Amino acid sequence: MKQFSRRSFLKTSASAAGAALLSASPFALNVIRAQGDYQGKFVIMSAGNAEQNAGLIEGIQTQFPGIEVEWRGLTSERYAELFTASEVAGDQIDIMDLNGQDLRRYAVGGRMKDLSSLSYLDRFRPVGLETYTVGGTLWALPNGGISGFPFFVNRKALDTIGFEGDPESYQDLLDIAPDLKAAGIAPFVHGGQNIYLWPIWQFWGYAQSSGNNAVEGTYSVLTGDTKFTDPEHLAGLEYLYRYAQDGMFIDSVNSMDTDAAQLAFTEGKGAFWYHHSSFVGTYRTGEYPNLDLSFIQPLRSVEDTSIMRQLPGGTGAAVGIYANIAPEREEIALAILDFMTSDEMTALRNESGADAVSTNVNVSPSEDPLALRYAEIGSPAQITYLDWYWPPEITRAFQEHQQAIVAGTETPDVAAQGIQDVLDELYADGYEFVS
Amino acid sequence: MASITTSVQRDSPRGSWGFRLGKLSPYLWILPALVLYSVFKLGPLIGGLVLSVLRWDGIEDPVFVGLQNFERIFSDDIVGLALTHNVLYALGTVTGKIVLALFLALLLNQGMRGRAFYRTSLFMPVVMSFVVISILWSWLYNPDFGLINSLFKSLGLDFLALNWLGDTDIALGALIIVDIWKWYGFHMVIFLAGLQTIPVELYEAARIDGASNRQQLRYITLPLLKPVMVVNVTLSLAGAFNVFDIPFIMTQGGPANATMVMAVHIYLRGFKFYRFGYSAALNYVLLVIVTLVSALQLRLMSSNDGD
Repeated sequence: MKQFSRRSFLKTSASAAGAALLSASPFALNVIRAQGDYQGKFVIMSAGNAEQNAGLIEGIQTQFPGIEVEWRGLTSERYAELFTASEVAGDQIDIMDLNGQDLRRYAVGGRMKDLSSLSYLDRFRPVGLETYTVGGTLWALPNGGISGFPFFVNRKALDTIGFEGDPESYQDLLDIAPDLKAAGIAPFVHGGQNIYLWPIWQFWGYAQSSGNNAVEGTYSVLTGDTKFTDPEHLAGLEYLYRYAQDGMFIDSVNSMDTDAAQLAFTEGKGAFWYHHSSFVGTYRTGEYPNLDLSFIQPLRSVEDTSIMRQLPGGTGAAVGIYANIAPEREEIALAILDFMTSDEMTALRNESGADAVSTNVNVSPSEDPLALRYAEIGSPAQITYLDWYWPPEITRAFQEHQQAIVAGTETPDVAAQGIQDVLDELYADGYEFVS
Repeated sequence: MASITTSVQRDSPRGSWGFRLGKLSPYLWILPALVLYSVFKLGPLIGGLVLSVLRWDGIEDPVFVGLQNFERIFSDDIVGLALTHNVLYALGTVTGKIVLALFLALLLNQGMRGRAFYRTSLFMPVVMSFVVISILWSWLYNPDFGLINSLFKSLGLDFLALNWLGDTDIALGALIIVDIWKWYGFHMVIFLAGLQTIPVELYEAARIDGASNRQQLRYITLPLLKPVMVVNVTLSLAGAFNVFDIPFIMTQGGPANATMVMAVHIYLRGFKFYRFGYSAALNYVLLVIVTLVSALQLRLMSSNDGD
C-alpha cells in the first residue's frame, strides 16, 4: 500500500478540498471567462509557499483549463532579492502575491497595475482596500485574514495571584507586577532577540500618544512636517522605556527568540505575551496545561480614557498584477485575480491560515471563541502596521534603538534622535514619501 | 599529466597538430575550472565593482554616482562599529581556535588509545550546518531554559548564569565561543597533518641531548609547525572578517548592534534597504581590508622566519 507522507497528505487534502469547493461554487458558473486564447505557464510570485496554497493552485487550474500555475514561493524575507533577480533575468512574472509591507515599494516603483476600476471591490472590507491604496490608486487586493498583535494573557497566571477581570491600564499592570514576580511569574514575555518584533511596541504606543492618529502622524513625519523627536513620537519610546525600567519584561527578553517566548508564556512563566493573533490557532491545536489563553487590547498608557487602545495589524496578503506582464496574459491575469480573491478561495486561504477575520465581507472563517473575540474587539481597534509606511531604514533604526532602550544602554530621547538622523539622511539622499 | 605532455611534444614535429595540442593541453586541462571560476567568481567580482559606482534599488533604473557610495562609507557610523566588532571577533576566534586546535592536535598526536574516535568526534562540528549550530547554541544560551545556565546553577555557580545573547556586553563573546566550537576541529586536523610531517629523529636526538618536553615543543614542534600555523591563522583571520551566518542567525546583529559585523551590515544595506550600490561598495572595502590584513599577517610571519 502506498504510504502518504504528512506533506503529500496535506497537499492532496488541500487540492481535493479546493476542487470540491470549486465544483460546488457559484463562482464556477458566474466567473467571467475572459481568459482569451492564452494557455500555458502562469507565474505567481508569492511570499507564501506552494504547499500552503495547493488548494488554490488546483482551483485555478481546474477553473482555467490549459493554464499551468507556477507558484514561486519566494518567502517574505527574500521577496525583494528574488523578485529583483527574476526581473533582471527577464523571467515571466504575472501576479504578485505580496506581504502587505512590501506593497508600497512595488506600487511606488511602478511594478503593479492600477486596480481601482475593478467591479467587485465591494466584496472586501474597506480597511483592506484603504491599506492597499497608495497615492489615491488601488494597487493590490487584500486577500486572506485580518490579523494583528493583541496582548495575550495567561488567565491561569492571573488566577495564581487572585486577580480577576482584565487589566486596562499600565497602572493596573504596575499594581499586580509585585505579586506576579513573587509568584515567580514575569509580567511580560516577548521574543526580543527577534529584532523584527520590537517596532510593534511603537505602533500601539504611538497610536495612543497621537490620539489615535498614528497613520496620519506617520504621513506627517515621513513628509518632514514633524520629527521623530517630537513629543508624540517620543512618547511611544518612553512607554517602552518605562516597561523596561519598571522590570515588566522577563530578564532575558533580549535573548529570547519567539519559540522561547512562547515556551515561557505557555509554561506559565509570564502573564502577558505580545504576539500575533495567529497564536490562537496554535493554542487550539496544541496541549498547554499551564495556559488559559485570552487577550486584551494594549494597556492604556495615556491619561485620556477617551483614547482607544488600538492594536497594530495587517489586512492580508496584497495581490496584484505585475505592471510589465506580457499583453497576451493580461486578460487571464485579471480573471485569475478575480478568482483568487473570490469568497470561496479566500475561505480556503483563511482556513489554511487559521484566520480570525477574513478580508472578504461575506466570509466568516472561524467559530472559535477567541477568534470571534478578535473579530469583535481586536479587528475594530486595529491600525495598520506603521512599518508598512516607513522606509526599511527607519524600521531597522527603530529595531536597533528599541533594543538599546530595553537593554538600558539608551534613553528614549537619544533613540528618537538616532531614528530622526536616519530619516534626515534619507531626505538628503532624495527620499520622498508618497501618501 | 606532465609525462603525457612531454611525450606528445617529443614525438610530434614542430608546427604539427600534435605539437600544438601538446602546447595547449595544460590550458585545456584547467579550462573547465577556469570557466567555473570566471562565471562564479570573476564575473560577480567585476559585476560588484560596476554596481559599486551605481545607485540602484532594484526597482528604479540604475544611476551612475561615481565614488559617492565609497565616500558615504566614511559617514556611516555602523561601519566603524561593525569593523571594531570584526577585529574583536578575529582576535577572539583566531586566538581561541589556534590555541585549542594546537593543544588538541598535540594530545591526539600521542599514541593514545581511541585516537581515531576522538579525532572524528572533535571534527564533527565542522561538518554541521551553520544554521543547525546557531539554533542549537541559541537554545544552549537561553537564560531560562538553556543547558549552560542550568549547569552553572546546579553547580552553585549562579553568578556565571548570564544573559548570554541579551546582554550587550557579552553577546559578541558568546558568538565567538560558538565560532571557536564550530571550527577548532578543522584547524586541529591541519595541525595534526603538520605534526606528522616532523621527523621523529629530531625528537630522539633532542631527548638524547636531555631536552625536556617543553623544550622539544618550543624548539622543534612550534618552529616546524610554522607553515601550518600560517595557513591556519590566515584561514581563521579571513573567516573572522567575513563572518555572517552565526551573528545573523543568532542575534541579527543585536542587541542594539552589539554583535553587528561588516557582512551583516552589508547584507542589511543590500537586501533590506535595497541599496545595492552602497552594499557593493562596502563589499569592496571589506575585500581590501581582508586582503591587507592577510598580507600583513603573512609578511609578519614570514619575516619571523628569517630570524
